[in-house]
Amino acid sequence: MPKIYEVEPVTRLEGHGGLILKVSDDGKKVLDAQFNVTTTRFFEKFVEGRFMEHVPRITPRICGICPIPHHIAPTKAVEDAWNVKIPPAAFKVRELLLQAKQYSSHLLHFYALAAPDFIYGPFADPAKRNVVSILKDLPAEGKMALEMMEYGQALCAAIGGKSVHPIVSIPGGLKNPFSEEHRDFFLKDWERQVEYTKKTVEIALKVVTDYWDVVANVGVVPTWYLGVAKEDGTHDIHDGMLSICNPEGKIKRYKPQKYLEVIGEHVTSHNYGTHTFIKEVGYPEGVYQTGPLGMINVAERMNTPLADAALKEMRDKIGTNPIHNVFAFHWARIIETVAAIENIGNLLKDPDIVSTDIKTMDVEPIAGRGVGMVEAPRGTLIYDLTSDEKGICRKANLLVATNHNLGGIDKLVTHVAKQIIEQDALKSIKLPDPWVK
Amino acid sequence: MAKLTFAFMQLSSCWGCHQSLLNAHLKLYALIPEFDIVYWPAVVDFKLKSLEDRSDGSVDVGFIEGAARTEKDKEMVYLIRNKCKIVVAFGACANHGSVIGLANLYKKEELLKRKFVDAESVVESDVKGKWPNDVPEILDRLYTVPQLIDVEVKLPGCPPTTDNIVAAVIYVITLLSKKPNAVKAEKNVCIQCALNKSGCFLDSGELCFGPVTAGGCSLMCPESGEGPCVGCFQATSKPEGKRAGQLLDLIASKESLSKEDTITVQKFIELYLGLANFDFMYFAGDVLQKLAEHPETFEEKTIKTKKGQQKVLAFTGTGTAIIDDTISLLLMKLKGSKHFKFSQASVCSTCERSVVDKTYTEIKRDYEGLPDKKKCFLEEGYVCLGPVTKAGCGTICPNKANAPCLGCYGPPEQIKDQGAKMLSTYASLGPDPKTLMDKILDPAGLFNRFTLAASTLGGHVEDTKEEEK
Repeated sequence: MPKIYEVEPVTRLEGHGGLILKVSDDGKKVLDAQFNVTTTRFFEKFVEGRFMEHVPRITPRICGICPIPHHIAPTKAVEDAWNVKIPPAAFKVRELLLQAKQYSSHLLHFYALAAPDFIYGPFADPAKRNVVSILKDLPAEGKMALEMMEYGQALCAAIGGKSVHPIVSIPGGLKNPFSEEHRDFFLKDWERQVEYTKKTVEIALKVVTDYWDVVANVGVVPTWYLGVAKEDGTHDIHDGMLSICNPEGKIKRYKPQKYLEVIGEHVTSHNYGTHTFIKEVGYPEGVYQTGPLGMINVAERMNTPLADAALKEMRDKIGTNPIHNVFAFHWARIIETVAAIENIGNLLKDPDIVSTDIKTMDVEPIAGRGVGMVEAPRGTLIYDLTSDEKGICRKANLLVATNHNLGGIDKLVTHVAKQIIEQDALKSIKLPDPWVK
Repeated sequence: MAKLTFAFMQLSSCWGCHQSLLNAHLKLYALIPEFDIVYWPAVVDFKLKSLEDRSDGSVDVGFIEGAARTEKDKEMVYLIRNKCKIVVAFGACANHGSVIGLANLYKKEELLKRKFVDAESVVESDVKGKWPNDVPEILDRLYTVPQLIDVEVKLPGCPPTTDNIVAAVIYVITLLSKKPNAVKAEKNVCIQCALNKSGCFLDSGELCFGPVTAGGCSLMCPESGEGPCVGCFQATSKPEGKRAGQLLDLIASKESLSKEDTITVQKFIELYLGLANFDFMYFAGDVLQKLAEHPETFEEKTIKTKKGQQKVLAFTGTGTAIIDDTISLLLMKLKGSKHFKFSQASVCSTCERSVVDKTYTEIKRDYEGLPDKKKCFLEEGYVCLGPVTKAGCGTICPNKANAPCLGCYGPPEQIKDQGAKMLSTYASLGPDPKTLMDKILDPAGLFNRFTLAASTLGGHVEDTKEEEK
């Protein structure tokens, strides 16, 4: 009888999951490891029958940390289906909204969800190993982290109406322009945020250095990657091409509308999240990862100077392209954080950002199908919506970050379980002294 | 005193309520030291077993985010109920089902089939033509938390605003940290009051709560000409014996409360018991809310007054028998008063948009044009749930984002079904029925978007007659 270990629930996670590890009865061989999503809410079905223009006001509830991409992607899908073109200023304000969310979400992820493992060490007491302790033990860093997240969230609220479950985006543009008062307010604090971001980069690099043995050797698993980038390979979270990269680094780009040719879903018996995979490779060989590391691997370059320099540094230090080291996810996340604050600055300085020309009046429902794609902080979102002639949603197919990542996560967890159980890696792995004991 | 213990449970949900709590950012420094977290998967690594191992009723406060979509969710609701003294239904999903309650418009098989069989991108399956089976089972319909257990606090909103959450947490902490009769005032207002000797309000038949109210206030309303004491200093441990009896008898002698008396008594109970009177929040310890919505849940008892035996609604908690009796009697009188009204404000009451004549002549879709920022959405033709939605959210959507209210806070407690009420609003103030029928193509999704699971219909209803045939 195989031994079964269960982690219930997997913590510090947006969503609901459990981990199951099956090991041979002698305890020496890993048979299987699964990360399972344990519930589902059926957005794909219940948006049927709703007004198309209201889908973007329903789907942000897919994710409370990343509601903004779940607001913009369906808006783009409706505009694609109805053939609506939005004013350039509306495009820029949406981009600012996405970047603000990218900034706060990446920082929440780094400081609140990930950092406790590095600051207290992966084996510290759970009562200690959390962000609440960080706020107590490292008040200066804790305060800085909170001020950064607050900047991003407040900017989201200033544009989106609410930071959690925004309401501003509408087929044809935006309901509300970005005000000059808000622009001035956020521009005033921007340079301080850049300084904070630079400090965060230092902290992240210290983590990488301290945990180099882990970064370089734990969970280094070649997979495919998926993300969004401009046709010329420039990193782009808002309006790029669906980009995939094979384990050797060969990149292909497709129009989002072609997604069904590129990826498929595999349904398993034990997971409410389906496993997506690259169709031309098949399942399970074609499973892939998405999110910051996926984005970096499908990009040739970042679109801002500091972030681009940081990307080059990362590629030099790790020495491969694509990067297969799972612990490099955090590093990639920090590079995207740098890009976010640089893009926020550029957009705030753009005179168009406070334009009141933010909504086209030329919006009429037509029967048709549209695809909207943006990059959320933890992966690519694809919305495929079908409208009838009255503008009622008749069909919806959604592929979200969790789908894309599940196959890759299972592969990784299995690999790491083998490293620990079959190769006794914990004995040889070098861990630094915790920052805080 | 040992720190309070908090548990946070997450059912099927989006994490947005937690994000809204974390949006307190620097305010977290003030809040977090006030409690110990015993379970919070979003933030802390304690596993489920650690919560299961705790003895029943040993955790002070349990927050439940999300609605029950799976069997496992249901178990978690009961687990939190068993372990926690106070349960907070946290957010729209927990309270009213939120948007995910719209799934109740479909049968369970339709939901599963769309996602796992018919979706355009599903190309392979280990469970051909079926859906995952080695997972917590999907319930036939989605349940809200109050549909499964009694809860002490309902904090609605999708998500509740950060300010609302902070206020609710502080309120709960304050209530729980207070020992019964914490205001150990040894004095009462009458001792200090110059009117005690002559000119006492009670002597002239006016309700004054000085005899049961802690002394030491500097306002001294009775003396300063403000009028009778309203009890804002809360309970004294030593009521003024004779006057307290006189107050009780005075209340007993009133056949029914006049409009003014009803207002005075309501205000007294609010101030005296420190009821939060938050529009956005339901708190089971709020006896006025309980009296308005569930008067049947009070036990009755009999007390003695000069007017003889009186039936009252039992209230305890002030630590002094005569004060408990006074409040019990007041609750009974309020129950009988036709002037007693407990109504929560609607979003409209806090909206800055100007209302002209409350007639709604047309209905526009949200993509049409751009709303005038100063005008009432409904009068402009846009569907706005302001009239049937509980106030307290800060009126962000209509006033800051130029977007109509979607109703995410659910209805004020006096409205039982948000969607039905909105339909009736349109029926009485809106355009002709044909326009309504032509334009409101999705009444459930427009009017019950956040409350379908908690609504009168609750969702898909089988046509049983059809089946019988």
